Amino acid sequence: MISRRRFLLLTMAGATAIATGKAFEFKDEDGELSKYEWGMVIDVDKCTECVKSRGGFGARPPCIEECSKANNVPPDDKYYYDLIRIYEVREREDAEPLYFPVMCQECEHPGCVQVCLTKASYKRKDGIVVVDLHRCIGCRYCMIACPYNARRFLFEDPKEKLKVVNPEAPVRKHGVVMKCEFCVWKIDREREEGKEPKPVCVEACPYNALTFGNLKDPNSEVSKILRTSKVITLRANLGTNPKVKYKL
Amino acid sequence: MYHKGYVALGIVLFLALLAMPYWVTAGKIKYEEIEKELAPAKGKCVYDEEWMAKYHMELLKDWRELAVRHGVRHYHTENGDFNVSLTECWKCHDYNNFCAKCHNFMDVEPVCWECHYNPSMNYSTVNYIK
Repeated sequence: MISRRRFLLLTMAGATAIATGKAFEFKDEDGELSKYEWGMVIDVDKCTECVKSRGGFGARPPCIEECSKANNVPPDDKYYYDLIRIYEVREREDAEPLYFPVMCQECEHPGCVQVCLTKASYKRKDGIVVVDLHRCIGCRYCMIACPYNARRFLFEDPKEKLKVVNPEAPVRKHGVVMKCEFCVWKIDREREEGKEPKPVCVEACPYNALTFGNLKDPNSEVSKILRTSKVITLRANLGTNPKVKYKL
Repeated sequence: MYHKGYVALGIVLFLALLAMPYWVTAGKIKYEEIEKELAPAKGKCVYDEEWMAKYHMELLKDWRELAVRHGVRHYHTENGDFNVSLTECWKCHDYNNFCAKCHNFMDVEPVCWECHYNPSMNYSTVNYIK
């Protein structure tokens, strides 16, 4: 007959074995993604040339036009919805301006993800910060946390103002937050088709100012630029370590 | 316990009321009745027809998780390779004569179309699939 002491020990051991076994058992669905780390290098001189030729500050270069079309961003007079915002930067008051296109910087340590109440914003294994709109409740904490002002809140239903729709990207509803996601629907599809993935803005740029690629691959175009030229990141003192870099 | 009989009866009634959707319509509306009126598909679906008719919502839920959370856009089954996206449905199915017709008959209202595009909406589209 088994003693009470031994019976308890055996059941405890069994339960522990099952619990730890369950904890170690995980599905590696993101294995494919961890091979990549998407990054972008922006040539500020070319951007400045482009914006100047279109009449300076306030212009809508083709990258913004194409981005809005592809990501179902509604046109609006009241709110600034475009996912790329162009900033004018000067060394001195009377100096020639530089134009910085600022979209989501895809930080390594994103503040927006930390504050998200519903875990709707999250960082994927390949470094892209994505908003799961199925979960977003529109509290706008992420907009407060973002140091780059990269997120937009949809105040009105985009369906009323949209004229052209890209069926692949979500049309969205009012009351959610949207941001640049490096055209996640496009690069995921192209990656699995075996093509070189590129967001829409990169393809649309007539000056080839934007370079997109895998930072983990030493032979990619982005890695080569990072090795050979001097690049800066915005607000580096915050320690967010953005993956969008600016070449001066 | 006081009024045992009444309490038990109350609990049973409450549970019965809670389960009303199951016993009021259960088994009375069958998709097989409208199946012949639906527009035929142009190709093979992800899984066989019977499974898809019953569980396509589960598949779409899985696909949502795959595409949004795990970045997987390629789905392989014995019927071929599929792009994990709602746009994949319109390649074979007609929205008004297939999806909407059956949903109306079954009295279900999918919330997908609050945020996603479907061909019954009056928009011109841009296509980035080359």
